[in-house]
Amino acid sequence: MKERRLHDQFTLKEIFKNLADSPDKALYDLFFNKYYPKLIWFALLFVKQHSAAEEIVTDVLFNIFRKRRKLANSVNIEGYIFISVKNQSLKYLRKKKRQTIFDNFESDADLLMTTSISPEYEYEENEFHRIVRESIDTLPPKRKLVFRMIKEEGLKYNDVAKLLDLSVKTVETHMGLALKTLHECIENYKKDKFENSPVIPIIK
Amino acid sequence: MSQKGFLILNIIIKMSKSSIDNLFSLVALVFSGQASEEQQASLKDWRDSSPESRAMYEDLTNIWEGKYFNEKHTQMVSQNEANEKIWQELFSEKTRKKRGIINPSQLIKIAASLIIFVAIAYVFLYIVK
Repeated sequence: MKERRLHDQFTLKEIFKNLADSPDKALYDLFFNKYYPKLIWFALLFVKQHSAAEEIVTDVLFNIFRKRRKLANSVNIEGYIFISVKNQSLKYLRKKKRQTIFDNFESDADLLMTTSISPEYEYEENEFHRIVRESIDTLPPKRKLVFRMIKEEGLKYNDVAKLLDLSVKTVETHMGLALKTLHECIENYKKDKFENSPVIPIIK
Repeated sequence: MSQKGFLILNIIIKMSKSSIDNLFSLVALVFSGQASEEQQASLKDWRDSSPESRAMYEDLTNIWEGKYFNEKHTQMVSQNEANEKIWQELFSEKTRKKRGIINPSQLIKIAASLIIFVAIAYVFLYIVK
């Protein structure tokens, strides 16, 4: 059992079911360490300061865990958590009487996204993936955000639509156009490589 | 250039109803594991339709499999603090026992209803009379 836990084999539903029955720190940590950074990142799309994001995420997680028995039976735990963070963030902004609401988050999101793709990326990344990562940076901010939420964070199209106030169709279009751009970059890269050194095939 | 042209032509022919953009949307939907069985089947059909489409499918798979967003902030100091705080408040044995005897939120409710009861009693005893 312990080994399975370490390998992240639990679904959210199972984690909440188990935590509702008994306090299991290992399982709790598994959830916490996976979601805390994601949720901080997400809250930062709304609120600018890190301290505010931390406060919001801690509050949300506290409430989520308090309701763990009820939540264990719900269909879409992940969507619920992200939407809670969004609502809590908007509540925070309203409280602080800030004018910055989601619609003009784009420039900040852009800033945030570029810093999160950092040069100190630490794993043997091949050239193919480096090209893709660089072309992700050229995507329009909202498209990049949608792409990250679905591909990297594994969120549902429906949830992303709700979270970003878009239609599901628009989310689909963003995903399609993002992939198209990335594919074009790879095509161009291959073509360049081929012209420069016709002997070696690059990607097999 | 001509190879790419051929590729695009190939897609247009194979997916007569949908545009190229729809193909990419379909790929994203399938790769993210959120496509219907029908959609999965239609992507497979397209993939197997020609060597070019298969090569393109492989490129798209490679694109999808990369990890591009660095979560360098994983080791935030605040993370451990928040982790401990929530765990202590909600799960630890000490607080659970404490909560069993005196639940603060319930205490407030009891206090509030007591005050209301006393107020009503006061009104009845001294004012109404």
